[in-house]
Amino acid sequence: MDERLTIAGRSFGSRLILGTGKYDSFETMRDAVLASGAAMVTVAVRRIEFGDPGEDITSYLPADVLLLPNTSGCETAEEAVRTARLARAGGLPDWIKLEVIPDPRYLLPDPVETLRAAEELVADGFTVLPYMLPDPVLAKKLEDAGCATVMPLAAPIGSGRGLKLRDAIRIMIEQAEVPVVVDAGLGAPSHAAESMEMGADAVLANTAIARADDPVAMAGAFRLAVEAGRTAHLAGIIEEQPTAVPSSPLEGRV
Amino acid sequence: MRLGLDGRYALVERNGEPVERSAYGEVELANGDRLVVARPVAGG
Repeated sequence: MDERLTIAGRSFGSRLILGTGKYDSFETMRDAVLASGAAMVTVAVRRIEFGDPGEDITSYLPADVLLLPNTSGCETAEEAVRTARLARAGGLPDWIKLEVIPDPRYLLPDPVETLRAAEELVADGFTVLPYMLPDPVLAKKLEDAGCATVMPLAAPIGSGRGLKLRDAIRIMIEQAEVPVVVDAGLGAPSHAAESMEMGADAVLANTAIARADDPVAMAGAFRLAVEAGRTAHLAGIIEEQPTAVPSSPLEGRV
Repeated sequence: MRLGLDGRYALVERNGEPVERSAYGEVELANGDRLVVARPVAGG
């Protein structure tokens, strides 16, 4: 079975990507990352408070996990490009999870600014993983612009509502020639499993794990769900039927 | 001035332009320079 995820020529041993936000402590975050088996985790970029720089999150992360800086907090393409360049110049990878979100209530990404930023960042040598509404037309444009993945939201960030936009995501999966990573809104391992069963290449989870009563156990549950969903997808899920189809032979009944 | 950063990553922007990490030891600040110092933090 095809167990490894490949993005922009780089192979990953896990199809679960973890966000590092909202954990009660860095220790719990680290243990959740380990339990999840994730090979890539997201981090945000923020200004340092002089006099109180706080702890360094990177010292808690396994060395073999790829740090994926995001552009959260950016409301325009210019802000996103600036943040990405700052991160890369400072030694973070030249991979960027592109987020351009002007709407604080629903945290929905701006498709026009996202595409504009993606074009500029790709031209500047970044490997771009754009967070986006599940819009198949936009997905093709981002793909044509050279993005390494497309990352449709399942539901609003942190909402835990699951695959509310599954039909559009299904079209994206059908049409995409780059990996499709379902990102945001997943609340339960079953949501991750369903995403993978549909044929998504990976999922990104944060709040569902970080805010669980036991984040480490939930990280393990997501790991199993992603593996189960991927295996089921590759195994070939049966088509739904409008009526019952007996499992026992009708002939020879006593 | 020391910030007391112990991390692997300190991200620096000087007058709106990112500063390459490899140049941190060479850049001389001038009066009026605008600095932004950032770092990776927890986030999704």
